Amino acid sequence: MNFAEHLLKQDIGVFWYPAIMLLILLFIMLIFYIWGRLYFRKDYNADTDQVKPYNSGNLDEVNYSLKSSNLYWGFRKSMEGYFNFLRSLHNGDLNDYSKWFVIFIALCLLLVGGGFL
Amino acid sequence: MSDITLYVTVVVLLFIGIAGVLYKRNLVKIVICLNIASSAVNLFFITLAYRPDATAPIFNAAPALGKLKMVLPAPQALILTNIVIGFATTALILTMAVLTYRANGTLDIRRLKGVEDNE
Amino acid sequence: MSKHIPVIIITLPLLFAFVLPVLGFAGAGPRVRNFLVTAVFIAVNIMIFSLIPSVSLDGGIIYYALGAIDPTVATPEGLDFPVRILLKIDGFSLFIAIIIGIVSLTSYIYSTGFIEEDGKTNYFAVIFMLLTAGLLGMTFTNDLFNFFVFLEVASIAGATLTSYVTWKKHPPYAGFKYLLISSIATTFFLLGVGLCYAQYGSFNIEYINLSLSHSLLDRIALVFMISAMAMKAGAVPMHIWVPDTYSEAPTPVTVMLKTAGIVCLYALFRISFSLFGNPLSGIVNSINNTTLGWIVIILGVFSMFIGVSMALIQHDVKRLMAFHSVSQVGYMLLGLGVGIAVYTNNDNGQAFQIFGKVAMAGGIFHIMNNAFYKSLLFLTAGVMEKRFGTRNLDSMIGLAHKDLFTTIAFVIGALAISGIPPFNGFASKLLIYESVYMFSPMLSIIAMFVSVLTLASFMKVFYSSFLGPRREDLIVNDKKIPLGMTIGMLVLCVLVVLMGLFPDIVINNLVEPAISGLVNLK
Repeated sequence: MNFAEHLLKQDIGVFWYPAIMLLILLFIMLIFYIWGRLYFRKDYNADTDQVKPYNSGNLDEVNYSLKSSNLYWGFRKSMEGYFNFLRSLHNGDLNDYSKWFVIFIALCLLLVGGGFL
Repeated sequence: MSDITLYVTVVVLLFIGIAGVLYKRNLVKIVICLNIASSAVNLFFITLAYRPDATAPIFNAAPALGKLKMVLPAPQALILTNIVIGFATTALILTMAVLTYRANGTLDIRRLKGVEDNE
Repeated sequence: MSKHIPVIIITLPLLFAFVLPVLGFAGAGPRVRNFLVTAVFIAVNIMIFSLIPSVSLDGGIIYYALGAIDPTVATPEGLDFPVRILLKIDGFSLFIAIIIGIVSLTSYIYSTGFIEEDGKTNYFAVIFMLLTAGLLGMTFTNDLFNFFVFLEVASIAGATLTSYVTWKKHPPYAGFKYLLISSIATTFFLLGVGLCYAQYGSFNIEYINLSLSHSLLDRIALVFMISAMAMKAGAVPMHIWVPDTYSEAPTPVTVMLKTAGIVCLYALFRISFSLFGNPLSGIVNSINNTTLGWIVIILGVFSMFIGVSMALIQHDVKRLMAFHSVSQVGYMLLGLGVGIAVYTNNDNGQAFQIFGKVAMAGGIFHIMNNAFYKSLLFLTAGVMEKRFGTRNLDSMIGLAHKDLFTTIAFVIGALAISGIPPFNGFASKLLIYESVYMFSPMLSIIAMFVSVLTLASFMKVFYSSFLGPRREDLIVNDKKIPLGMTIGMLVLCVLVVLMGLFPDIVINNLVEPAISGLVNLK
């Protein structure tokens, strides 16, 4: 069948059997997973203080106030002018929808009239 | 009427309709101007189909082909479809305007933005 | 019987949509209704897949004349122009029909678990089937006015579904916006169709293409039609309605609205290539394909950039994904725009053979990939909305402790949209990068930069809402996710992974016939 011989195709000079390579990759990942669980969890004790999140030196119950608005803060602050300009274009104003449409049609008709299109 | 007058009417109606959608603030006025714009397109199709001094192509006993002048029937049938579509769209869009008014208390698009509490 | 399959694909959902309220009055419960609608969608999918051997693999084109005694004859005896409405199924139409079939099936299975049953959910299924019938009709038709009628059917059905939750503040206004946009677009589209009819006397796409004379009125009609379709697809600068509408609609409906945008993008390319394109025949003063290609490319580049810039600063998860959908439409426009721009006769079609076909293959393949991974992302956003009760990212922390399957689905979707192997986004993006680089290196660099920013914004969502400590006080809904939602996400996950591992099966069998359906190299 075409699908089966596609999986075992070899017409390049090097060793290139996609299905066998995929199985080898899965096998290696399984070996690493089992070894990793046994090795890296030797000193893991659930139900102690170890599993709580670490919050800048306080190991008490967390006041986890890192929200998604705090991420990429520097990126947003430095390009504030650009983002405020973009945000002002995207308020929910119904008239803006058709204004941009008419502007686009006008530009394209100018191109038609100028002989470019 | 001559054809040029009708085509100029089409363009004027289209401009009025589009200007209304661009600049009016009330939701119901925007719907009215949308209807004007689609009436313009309907008028355009019907004007295409007209031939002066011609009859509708419905006959009991058709005269000879040389003396036969008929208007085009195909655009007229299609414009009936368009009018019904416009009617259904207007009914639905006015229902949504009524629901918006009930939930928000206003029909002014400058106050209805609804984006700030999500942005 | 088998020669009537094209029309049965469109009319089976249409007829069943009208039977369903009668069944509801006769006392059929929700489970019966779900089962019947799923069965209808599976039947439509089987019929679409049964057309693949004859259309895609053999390269044939199926014509179907509605209402004729022998439906496969395009022009009747003694006449040299077609008089009936024709359906035409070629490689590109079947490609889009496969996307519509799979996405509508998974979306309906998802909605059986998502939409709460309150006695009126029958009507949701009715309008959902009408929307699918409208989209399939748009894909298969070869007649401009028939296309317009199905476009209106899909717009009205889509707007009704958007405002399904009528008791909240924002969904009816989102439905108003969608219907307003659709009405403006279809008014201008009909104006373009009228200009074509006035000159050539027919609505049939192939007949107009054969008798096209490339006059000034034809170019004006082209501008109107392309702008209207670009507006409905969500290309910049007419994209402002996309985040407002996609975020307020219920989640399975958002997926179908996105599919409607993809079908309008299909219409844009069908009009540019099949209706107005005949560049290798040497007509004097024909439409300048280079300028048309550059218009589409500039639309694409602006869409990519503005879409992803706005997506970085959003707080609302579905609004963020809607901005990403604007940006991905930019990729499709870029790939196909490069294909249009080099489809000229100046150098005997050399540049098109070398990299124009690859750019078109990348753009077309990206349409299918985008439909699958974007739908997967929207469906996981639906799970997040159901768990936390709100769409605001600031109050979503630590979902991975509760829903491991949703986390894996989200990771697969986020890696696919950024173009990371072995998922399917990588294959199509690589084709677009390499071919666009040969056209103009700057565009390819912008495309790669936008891909990096896409990954950045999805990492923000993943880090803040899936990772983090266990927060039981924020989770509103503690129950298990319904089975329908899990099956919907699972099917799309499997498709994303399989198409990433074996992309050349899809490209050789589905995308190449799509290209040969659009262009016509002698």
